[in-house]
Amino acid sequence: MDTTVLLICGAPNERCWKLAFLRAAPNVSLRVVESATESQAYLSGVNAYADRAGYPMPRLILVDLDAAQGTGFELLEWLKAQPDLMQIPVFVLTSARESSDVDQAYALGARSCLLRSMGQKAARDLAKGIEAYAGLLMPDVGQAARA
Amino acid sequence: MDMKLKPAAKKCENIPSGQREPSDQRCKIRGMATSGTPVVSKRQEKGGSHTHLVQFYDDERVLAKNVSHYLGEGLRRGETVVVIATRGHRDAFTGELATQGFEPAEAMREGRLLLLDAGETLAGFMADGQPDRERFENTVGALIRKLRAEAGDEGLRAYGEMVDLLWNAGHSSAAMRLEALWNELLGANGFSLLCAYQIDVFGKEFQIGVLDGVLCAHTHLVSAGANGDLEGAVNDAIEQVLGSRAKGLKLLIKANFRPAWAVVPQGEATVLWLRNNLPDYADEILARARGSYQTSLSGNAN
Repeated sequence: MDTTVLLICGAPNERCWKLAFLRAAPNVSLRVVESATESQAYLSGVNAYADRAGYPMPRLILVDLDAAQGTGFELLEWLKAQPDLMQIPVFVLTSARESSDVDQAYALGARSCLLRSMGQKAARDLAKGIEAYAGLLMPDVGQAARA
Repeated sequence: MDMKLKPAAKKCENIPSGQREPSDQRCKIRGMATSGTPVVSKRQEKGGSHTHLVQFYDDERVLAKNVSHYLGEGLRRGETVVVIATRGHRDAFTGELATQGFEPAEAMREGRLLLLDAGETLAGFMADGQPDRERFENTVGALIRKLRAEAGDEGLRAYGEMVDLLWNAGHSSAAMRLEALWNELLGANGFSLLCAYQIDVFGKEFQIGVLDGVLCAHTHLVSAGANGDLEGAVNDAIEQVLGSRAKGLKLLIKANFRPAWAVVPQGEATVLWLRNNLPDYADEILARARGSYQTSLSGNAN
């Protein structure tokens, strides 16, 4: 079963997440984009992402606030204005315990903010949890959006 | 205790940021007594710091037990204790205190225990359907300041359910306004306050969309279960319904955090997460959890 998860994450953490999902969440088809602009193109199915067979709508969107090149909030704001994408849950990943970013993320519609401890083990645990969660979402959550 | 200024989430804007705890203290549950009632240390109550606890309950036995533990702890420490509750609850709490070996009548005669009626006290400061700041200050505020000054180093703790009267009458914004007034009083006078809301933790009302403001207004949520009963019941139900996915999901739920909220025990945090993120499964999981939780409650009562 293909469970596509879209991760918005820049270079600093990209390798760590890819490795974690590869090892701990084999049923997740992880698609990684680097910026809000790129993720908007992916979710809108335009430019390089026009082929939905190659770039399926995700069941879940992950935003790595630490490594989204400062565009994580930009994406959350854009998502909030897209009613047809509202059914796709957005989880925010962060290693910062400071409240301001987390509060802002919730205010912008993030369903859950996940505290990421340092190290591969913590990343694998989260990947495992995300695989379990994404597998429980209705298969048509992503497909119905922008159909 | 250091009070850092923290930006507030949108729904938490009515809570003065200086009255919240540093975020690093909100990431774990501290000082839980076996009853599930957080222990309030002397240190926490000095230097202008305060603790603002909240209890959600459906079972009157749970309320009576947790509140009487909280009140009894204050009497044991020599604190002055104020209860603002309905007649039925005041009787239940004093009855429980008596079974714990306290002498409520004597404590009342000595001025160490003060019982006030929630409805009458509330009526003393409401105006046009909202708590009036000036009236609140002149009634509840004046009483708390007087008792706090008289208590000195021994400290003061209060229990109140006026917010619940407002909430259950459908006046949630008035309840939030009253919580904000309490927070101002708490911040200025350094005492502890326990509020209770008659809200079923397993019911549909117990969800983030409804309770975000209440959770932002408090520092700690007191578990509705004793000895991890509630957490155990929820975890067992998740395993029964979700099978092999349960383990991974628990890792995800554990990593979820919201610094603007009160410290939330894991059982209640899991319920809130399920309602928000897995609504298609939440009803079934929580119906099962309710069953085993009630069984354990009956077992504890016997």
